[in-house]
Amino acid sequence: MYLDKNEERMLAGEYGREISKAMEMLVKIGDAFDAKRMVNIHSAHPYGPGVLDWVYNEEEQEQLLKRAREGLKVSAFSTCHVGLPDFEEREEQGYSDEYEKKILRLMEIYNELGIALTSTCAPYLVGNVVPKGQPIAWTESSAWIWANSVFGARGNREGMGSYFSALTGKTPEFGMQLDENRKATLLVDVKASLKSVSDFGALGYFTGRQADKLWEVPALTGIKSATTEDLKQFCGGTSSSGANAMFHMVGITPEAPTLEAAFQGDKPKEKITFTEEDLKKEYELLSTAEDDDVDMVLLGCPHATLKEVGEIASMLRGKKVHEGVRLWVQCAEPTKIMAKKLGYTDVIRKAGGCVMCGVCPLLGLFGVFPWVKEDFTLATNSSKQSHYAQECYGRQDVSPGEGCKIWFGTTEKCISAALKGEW
Amino acid sequence: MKNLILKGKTGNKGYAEGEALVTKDSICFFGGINPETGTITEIRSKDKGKSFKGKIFVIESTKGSSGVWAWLSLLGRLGNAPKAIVMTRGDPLVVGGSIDDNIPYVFDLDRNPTEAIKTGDHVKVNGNKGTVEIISK
Repeated sequence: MYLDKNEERMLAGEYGREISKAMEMLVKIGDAFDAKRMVNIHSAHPYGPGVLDWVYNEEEQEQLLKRAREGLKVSAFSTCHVGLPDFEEREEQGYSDEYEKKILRLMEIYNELGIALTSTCAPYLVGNVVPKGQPIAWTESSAWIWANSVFGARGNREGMGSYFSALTGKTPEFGMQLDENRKATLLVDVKASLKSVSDFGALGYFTGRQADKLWEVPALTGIKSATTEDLKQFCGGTSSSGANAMFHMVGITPEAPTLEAAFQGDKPKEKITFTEEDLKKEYELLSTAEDDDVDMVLLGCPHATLKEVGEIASMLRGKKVHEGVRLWVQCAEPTKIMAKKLGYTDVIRKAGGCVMCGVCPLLGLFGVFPWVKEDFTLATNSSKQSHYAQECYGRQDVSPGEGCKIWFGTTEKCISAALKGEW
Repeated sequence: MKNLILKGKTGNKGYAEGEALVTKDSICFFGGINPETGTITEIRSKDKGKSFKGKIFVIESTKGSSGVWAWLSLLGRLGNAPKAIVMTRGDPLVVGGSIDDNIPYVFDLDRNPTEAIKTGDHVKVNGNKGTVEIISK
């Protein structure tokens, strides 16, 4: 692929070995997809800082910190994905002193590099807002789907590549960067009436299952309107079951003012309908529990908006979460700060729940929450959380996921389960 | 009978040969596999429980999480990675993960590899040329 003079210098090591290694990896990825050139990114959203422990040994981490203090900085605005505990809520989590010491050191490296420690799966809610058409390099499947679909930004499926793009400010131009790959490939016509965020999450999960081959782009018709929270749940669902990096909602998302625009002038080859019966079936697929007793209620996957935290606080005001039930409302740190000022966190705490910032129970796989590896019953309004819980939580010695049973339903139903201790 | 050779694109260079494990399901390397054992854990997959460790892993599609890269990389560090990955289409996350694991990765072949290759076939993956050779029984 073509590299300009500055990119050549990056590759040759003139800006140090971190930049050189980053550029080398981006070129390899670009070459695999016949990218002709690099493009400048609006922003990156790399994995949380814990990942540095995978890429660099301790000596290299020290070197990186030193280099960052001497001036090595990211070349593009960067937020980061979930990867930190909520340091204010130590007793809710159970991580070790050793873990805390390690993560604080890795956080220092990110901070020195200039990566904002947002620790969120929803950077689009806390300041990483992309104008239509601009290239990005974001990890987190629900986030790149949001960016591509709702913002009309342009980003591929990203892993460590996002960190390399943060350092260089570049991403190879292929895939979702190009118009032709953004064209809808299948149509889902929604006949069911969508009444809640969990209905949108279920529709997302259904849509992802129709688009579970790489480079599919589903288009949806029949949706009259969608809130921020509806779209967030849809992104979470479709990103869990699907391989699609974007979707179109005709009349709602920016590249689909009409069905023709979504299909770039072509006619859809087949139409899949989503009926009331399909909606019901999706709820059944996402609920694996049989026993009504609930151990944990999880809201805010993907991370809650401030509006959601406020609505949950209203539902819990003056009430008491059932003894032995853990209720988490997850959000990003800036959202929690605002929620505190508005009194929401106090209301939720008085009721026996907890507003947790920066986290996801999946961090339990990295030892942050040891109890995730014990068997429990989880209630959630998130199809994404249900999917990963079914695969990852519970005792790990049998088959991961099988020890965790899930109830999937509306926010109201989840709150009611938290108060009663049963579904 | 002549060996069948599929021609495609290079996701990562390198050479490997061995026994194929073919899945027609979409698999997410995060959650959909157990890194401790190198087996498929994807819910609703017909191949749940099957091991790809040390095999040529032929997959219809990857999907889902950005953790596909990190977990493929983790598989390598735990010694549970496949010997090579062959896929219908290319996933940038698998390009990255296969570079970390130093295993060949090929995709966009002239025939659907999950149809041309059967589980148990002996196959040779040449990442440098972007080819997959199926040894005739």
